[in-house]
Amino acid sequence: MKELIKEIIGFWNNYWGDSFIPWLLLAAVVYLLIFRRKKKNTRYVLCYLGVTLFLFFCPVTAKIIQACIGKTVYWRVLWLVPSTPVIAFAMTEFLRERKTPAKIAALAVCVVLIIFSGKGIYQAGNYHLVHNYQKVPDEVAGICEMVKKDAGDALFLLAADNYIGPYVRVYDPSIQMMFNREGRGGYGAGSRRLYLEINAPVLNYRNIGAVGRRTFCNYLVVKVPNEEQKKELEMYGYQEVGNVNRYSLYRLGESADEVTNPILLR
Amino acid sequence: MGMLIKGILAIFWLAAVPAFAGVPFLGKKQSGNIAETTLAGYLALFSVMEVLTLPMTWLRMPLHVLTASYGVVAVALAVWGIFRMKNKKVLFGLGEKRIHWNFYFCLAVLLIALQVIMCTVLAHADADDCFYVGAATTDVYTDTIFEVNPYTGREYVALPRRYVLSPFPVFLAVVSQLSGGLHPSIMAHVFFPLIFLPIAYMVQFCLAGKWFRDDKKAQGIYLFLAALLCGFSGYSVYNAGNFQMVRLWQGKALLAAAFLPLLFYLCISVLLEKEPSCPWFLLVLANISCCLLSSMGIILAPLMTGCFLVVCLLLTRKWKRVLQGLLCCLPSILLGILYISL
Repeated sequence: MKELIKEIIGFWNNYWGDSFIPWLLLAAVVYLLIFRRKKKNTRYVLCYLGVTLFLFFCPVTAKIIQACIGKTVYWRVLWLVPSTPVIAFAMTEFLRERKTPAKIAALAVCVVLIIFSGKGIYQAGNYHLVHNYQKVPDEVAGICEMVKKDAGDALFLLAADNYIGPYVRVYDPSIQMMFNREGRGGYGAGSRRLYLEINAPVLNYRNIGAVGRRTFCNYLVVKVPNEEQKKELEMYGYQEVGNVNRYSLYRLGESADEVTNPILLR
Repeated sequence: MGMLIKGILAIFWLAAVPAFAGVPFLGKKQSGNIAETTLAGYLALFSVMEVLTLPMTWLRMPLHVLTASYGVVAVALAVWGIFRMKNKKVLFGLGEKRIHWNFYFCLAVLLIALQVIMCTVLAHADADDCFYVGAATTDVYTDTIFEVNPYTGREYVALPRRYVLSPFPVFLAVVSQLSGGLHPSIMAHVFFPLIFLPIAYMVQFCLAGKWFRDDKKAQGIYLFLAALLCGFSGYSVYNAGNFQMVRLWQGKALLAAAFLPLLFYLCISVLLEKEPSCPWFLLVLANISCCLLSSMGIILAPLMTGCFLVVCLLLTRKWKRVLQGLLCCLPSILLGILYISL
């Protein structure tokens, strides 16, 4: 029980990060309770807020919900807590009865409070500019175009790391992958081994080449190797097709149809 | 087909069709503003999508059959909506319930417009796209529904039980096909934020209308503050505001950003108000729509409705309403049982 309560508090803390938004929510609730408690909308909202917070923090309900949705995503229950509506509602209630100059000044104070309590979405580094309509990383678009041009109509398998892999089939679903994000969809121990090698913190190109060849992986997308590492890949029959920014595309053999993984023929 | 034509088609299916299709679902009033009609339209269309997709997935039918079926039903609902409209001016913001443009409302619209521009012009890389967008590109490429594994491109050995009851990626595939074969990735990363971000704020606008009925300035202030709170939700990757701002094309994000708040609005309107201001069947449609969006919606939507039923009991003691609310959750409860037992 103690462990579960600790977990629930951990979920709560992670959900709010290091922001002051929960304090803003608390201030909003206190304001509504003291100054607007007689309004029916306030009663509805606060009563609902109380029920959802009880549901989230109560270990018995938490245990039941976790059994339904899974333990690791229990924090999603906090989506039921209407934090944005409650804060905006309380602030608007506070502002609406003020006369225009005071209202604008008070609104400015609220804006500053929100800005300092939270963190800007753009400022958090969520967005960047790319040069393709599909809006996948530019390396992915470049690699996909390159591999399609090189392979022609041949059936082939491609392996890439956790940065490139997840977006390959988002950009071009005709490309078949050896495995994908976190090794998902991979078939057999060889595929798992290649996934681990290609995502290792320090890449061993000799191992990548050896496992790639053994598993009949036609194309490898790897971080641009130096001359020695290139030779290691070439030792196992991989030839460089081209580079896109930090990544290189390597093909097994002279052409894409030189080897075919049996999995493609099923 | 040119990109411009595809874009116009995307706007037609994502904005025009829901705006008209929602009219018959507003109940007796049938003269709501554009926010109310569009939201009701989405509830109806998402429910149609869920009802069509589930049997077609089990029957292993091709995607083009689902696309044609959805297209026909959606257009039929939109045409029905046009005939049922009491005042056609209303939809274009010219009628009685027109939107009042005051300083605060303009400020809110400006902030929302900036957010829409950021979300549509710039890119956010999210590895979850691997499944959610990958499933749509795969379904379009293979003309199947959940038969091919989006991770690899090879056939599934068994149906993906976690996702099959919430086929929002299939909705993405269908509207992409209806939009002249627009690439699902472009549809998801450009057109979905363009449409669904305003949809999320339409819900907040409806809440503002409920809470500050006769105070248009207060409605504007509320909307502006709600938009600002979402814009500054970068403090964690878990909160609903962050999901809204960075990956609104994924079903779970749309659930957290728009459809749970919409359910919140509907629960207040249907279960708590003295005279319900929305018809009860919108609550059923909202529960079904949440199921379409995410497997989390299958559990969270009845959970939210359940919380409101407790509040209803505590504040109004209207047993009839509680029973009505329970009935509205039935589709979600059935799918929930299926989800847990699969």
